[in-house]
Amino acid sequence: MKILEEISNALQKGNAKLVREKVQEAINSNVNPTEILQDSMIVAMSIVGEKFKKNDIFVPEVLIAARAMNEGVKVLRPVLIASGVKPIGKAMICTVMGDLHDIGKNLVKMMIEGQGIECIDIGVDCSPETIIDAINTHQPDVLCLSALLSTTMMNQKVIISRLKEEKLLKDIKVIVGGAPVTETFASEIGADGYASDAASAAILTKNMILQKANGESQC
Amino acid sequence: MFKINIKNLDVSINANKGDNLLRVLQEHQIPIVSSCGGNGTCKKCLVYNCKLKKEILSCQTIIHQDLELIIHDKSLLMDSEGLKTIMNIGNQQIDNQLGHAMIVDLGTTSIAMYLLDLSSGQVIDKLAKTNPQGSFGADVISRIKYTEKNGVESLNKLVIDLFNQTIHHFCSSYRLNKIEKVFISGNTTMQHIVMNINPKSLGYAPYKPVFLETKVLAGKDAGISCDTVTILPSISSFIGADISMGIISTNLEKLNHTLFIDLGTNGEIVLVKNQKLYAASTAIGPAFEGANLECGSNAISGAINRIYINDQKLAFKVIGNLPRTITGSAVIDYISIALSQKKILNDGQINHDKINSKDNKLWITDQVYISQKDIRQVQLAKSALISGVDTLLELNQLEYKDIEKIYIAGGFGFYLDINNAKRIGLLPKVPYSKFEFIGNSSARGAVICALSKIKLERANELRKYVNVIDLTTNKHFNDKFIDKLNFNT
Repeated sequence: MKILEEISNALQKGNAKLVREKVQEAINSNVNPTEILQDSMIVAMSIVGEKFKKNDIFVPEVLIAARAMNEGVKVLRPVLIASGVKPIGKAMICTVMGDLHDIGKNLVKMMIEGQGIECIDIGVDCSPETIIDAINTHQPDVLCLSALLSTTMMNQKVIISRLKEEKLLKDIKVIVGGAPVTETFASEIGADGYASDAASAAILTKNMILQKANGESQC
Repeated sequence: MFKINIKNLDVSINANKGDNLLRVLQEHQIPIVSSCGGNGTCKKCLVYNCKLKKEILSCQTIIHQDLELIIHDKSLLMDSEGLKTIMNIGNQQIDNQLGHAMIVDLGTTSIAMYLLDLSSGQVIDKLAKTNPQGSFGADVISRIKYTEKNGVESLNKLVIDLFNQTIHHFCSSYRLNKIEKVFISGNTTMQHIVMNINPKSLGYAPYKPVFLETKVLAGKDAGISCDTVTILPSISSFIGADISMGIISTNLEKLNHTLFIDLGTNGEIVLVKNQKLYAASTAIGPAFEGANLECGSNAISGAINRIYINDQKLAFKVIGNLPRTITGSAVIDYISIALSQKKILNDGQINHDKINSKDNKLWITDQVYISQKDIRQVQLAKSALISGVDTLLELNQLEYKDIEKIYIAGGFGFYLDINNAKRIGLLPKVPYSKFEFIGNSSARGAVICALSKIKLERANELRKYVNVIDLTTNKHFNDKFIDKLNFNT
């Protein structure tokens, strides 16, 4: 459909105004809102994520695209709600205790939202207790832990151990990331997943949510 | 027991089954580069395995057989030249004292040591060395992490040994019986390590230091062969004694609308306005020291350290003969030129319409290139610094046109082309005449403090007068940081 392609192109260029207009135009011509979200906007954000991974575009371009996505979603949301469409799942994100660096975390959050997932941001410098409280309140499917420093990355381990003690890991998948974190480290500390960049984090989150949904429907 | 034979260095060492190769090399004083501290992420500790006929990461190699290795220069820490420079401290008042002092600029990457005649105030000699702690991580955070597991003693001993060797060298060169005093200026983490105090608390929010003030101790208590050791005062966890000394050295307090910028792995910025000082530290990362650039290095033999246009063609200068690596300042030159030629676009992307390279690399020689990823590293680094500068200026309602002077400190600054640095957006766009390179202001300030008790006392009071701005949690800074990542802003 031409209009879906137009939304996707505008979104990839980060043209928020055009995205708003085109989404409205699609709604007016009775295009299925799920199609607008899934087949146009989320596809566009996936392309943006892929380009970012290949270093073809950089943080500012991703942020501009993510802002355009958010603008488009604002127009689309009432229609989605009216037709009974819900986000596919819920993620929660924070930087670990001892770490105040949140630029990377904010980027991951936007990319996750770009996959049609609700993402709860509980901020920076989060202790295991803060995280446990927030899990009990929000019941997320996936928890994303960010650490920028090679010192604070050890707190990802501390947090995962505490969640294990609290028997919270059964219903939640934990993803870790941040500059010093590696795949090996992630598996050593018992994380369910590792993402090397914001785009991969979003895709990983989505896959984990889909897996969980499939698992539940099989039960 | 296995044998590790390093063919090109003519060294043979023994190791046990299960040992980590990087640790074994470090324990045997092979000065191997490891910027990430053995995480397997920086890829700098590559060694050539002769049997496998390929390069392996030593930090990720567990020994279970004899090994034959070749360790290329690119994986070895090189000593900088032991240059002899005489430092002029101008018309400073100096105290009446006798004897000699060793002044130490204790950098995370390199250490400069100066022999000072306390009676005349003359610097007689200088010796520069690579910080031997470099094998345990390139940046302070990696070092802090190392001390958490392994204690601070081994890192402490490495620099103390180096100080004692240098004292011995100075004494025998100049026929001195002893060196009476040692003054040490470094960032706050280095000051902790040299005091043998674990810097762990500096590695986690709220990043609290154990001490900031001047410490004077007997040489024997510090393990240094001299009468007294003075650990110079810091200002905050991220504004160290090196910056206190920079402020003293430039007499910054007496100036107005002036910026002091120390360009290193961290970029420290001090602004003076109406007799008030404001300071911030921003994480530039090691890009400008070449550490996370694919062909990058610091100014070692074989490094391209200057790129320019000659007769409409790209030309470069290289240290030594054969170009094998590129320094941060040459990368800045290259990006600046490539931006003008539209080979790199303002958003940092390599422009495929303008270059013939199929592999998405900008080749400078048949061995040295700049990758798209390298450009991204430079974008992050330059945005961190300029966003810090802009944030400090804005908080004080100042604009570029109000700036009267900008001092650039740090060894890297010497090779930097100001116009190219301005073009890529690393330095503020103010007229060339307002910039002044001051080189090692950390050492110069330490010389002044060694010669004048009043100056040392003033330095120790600075932390009460300097307003330290925390940029990590500053919303203003974070927004700017994103905006300034592109080259056009």
